[in-house]
Amino acid sequence: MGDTPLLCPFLARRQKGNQDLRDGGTRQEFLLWYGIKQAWKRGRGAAVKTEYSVTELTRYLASLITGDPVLQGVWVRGEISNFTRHTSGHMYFTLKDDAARIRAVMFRGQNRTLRFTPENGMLVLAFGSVGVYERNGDYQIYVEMLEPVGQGSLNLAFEQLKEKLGKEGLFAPERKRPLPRLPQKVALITSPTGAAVRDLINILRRRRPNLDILLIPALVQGEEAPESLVAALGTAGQISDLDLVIIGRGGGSLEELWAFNDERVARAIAASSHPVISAVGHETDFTIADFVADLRAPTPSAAAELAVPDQNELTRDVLALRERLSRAARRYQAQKSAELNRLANSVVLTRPERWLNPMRQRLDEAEGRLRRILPRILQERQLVFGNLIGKLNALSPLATLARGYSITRRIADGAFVSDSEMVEIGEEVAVRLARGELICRVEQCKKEAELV
Amino acid sequence: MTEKAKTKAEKTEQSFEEAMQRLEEIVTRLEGGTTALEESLQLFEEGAALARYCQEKLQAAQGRLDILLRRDEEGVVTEPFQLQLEEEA
Repeated sequence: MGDTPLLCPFLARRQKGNQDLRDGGTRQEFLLWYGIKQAWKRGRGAAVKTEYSVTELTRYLASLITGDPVLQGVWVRGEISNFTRHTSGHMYFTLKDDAARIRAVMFRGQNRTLRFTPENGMLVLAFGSVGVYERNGDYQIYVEMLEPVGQGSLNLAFEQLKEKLGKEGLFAPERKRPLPRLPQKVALITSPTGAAVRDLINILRRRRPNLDILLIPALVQGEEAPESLVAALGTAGQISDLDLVIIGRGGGSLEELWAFNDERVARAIAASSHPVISAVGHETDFTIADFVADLRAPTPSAAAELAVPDQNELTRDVLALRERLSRAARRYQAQKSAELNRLANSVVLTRPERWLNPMRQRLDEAEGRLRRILPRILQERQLVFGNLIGKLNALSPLATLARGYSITRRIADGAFVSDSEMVEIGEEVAVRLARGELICRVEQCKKEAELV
Repeated sequence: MTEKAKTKAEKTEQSFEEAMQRLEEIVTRLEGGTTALEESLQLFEEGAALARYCQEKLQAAQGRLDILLRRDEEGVVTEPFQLQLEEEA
């Protein structure tokens, strides 16, 4: 428009210093004039077209907007509302203030580098270009950059991630694993050239000369740092004989330490199969990695101090315990020997007659009593025995025989003969007398009745 | 029996921490002097094995300092690392 300044009423009035200049109406006027001029140019001087299709009109309006240098790179401040994130990754929302609103879209390519997550109600400063979405006839701002108002986007992102992972329980005290008291092999995930690696190695070495150290180099700042750190943690996970992982870097700006606030890094630390000590920046720097790690060390040097004990100190401890053990054993032996001696030298064992003599005396006494009592017992027994013999004699058939009776038995079967009819004349019978026996032959058999 | 106590300590993959604790406990009990003779002998042998185990653990690693070069299907490839001073880097 530089070539036709005098044809522009807007500029003409501006040159006159007209106060209407800041009036919205004046700008509309300008656009109208500009449009007419463009149309006139296209028509090569022909009359302004009187009829447009919707598409033509919309395209015309779009061309006006996209042709405006102000609208193609503008900062706008407003509050986010109706925020949605489409599955495609694009973000759609409205920016509003008390009196107006404008639709906004932030495509995936732009929002991928956003560190914080936009939320409804958040006051933001957006940079982008205004364009027309012809299909709906909407004008909207295509956002390229978004900054929270009031605090830096990094601070906001930090708070948001901290809250998110905290809610998932990744910082819970019960998730923290105890560190080994005496690590044999430690991995350092850091830059191989920084001050941090030097401090770490020097202090680890000084405290524990025998420690095996494996440096897993990683980028600790910049765009690729998170992936590099995640890869290094993955590698550490594959090395089974590691006791501990220290991940960190030396001090730097919030931007430089940013990789340690990355969600991927935080999750990789949480998933580590080995205990992890985080050691990022200075004492005052807190990162998400610090919250997720099993132990936060304020600095890399402190991490080295916390990771391994002083080997010499521990060696002294072990030797001291060993000495106490030997001493305790010697004292135990001495104590038991003393006890044994005391027992061996006791009166009971050295002078047995002291307790034997009274026993002997008791034995003698018992023997005397026994001697005195024995004849009397025998006498009593004999008396009882004599009585029993008398009773036995009274019952014996021998006594009857002694009075002249005899017992007759048949020779043939030994049966006692109690009836004269039991024997035949001429049969032999045995007659038992009190003393001796007769073998007799039967001469005559008299029945009971024949006897007088 | 000393050998047995030692292999027991190794088999259970006893941590240095646990070994130190147990050693401390054994020493304290023996110093108390109230244990029976047979138990005392066992404790002493176990204690001696633990003390040796702890000393070995302290000396176990070789003090290597390596840097990881790459990781492939074979595993990880490392080489000895020379610490560079920052000024030189």
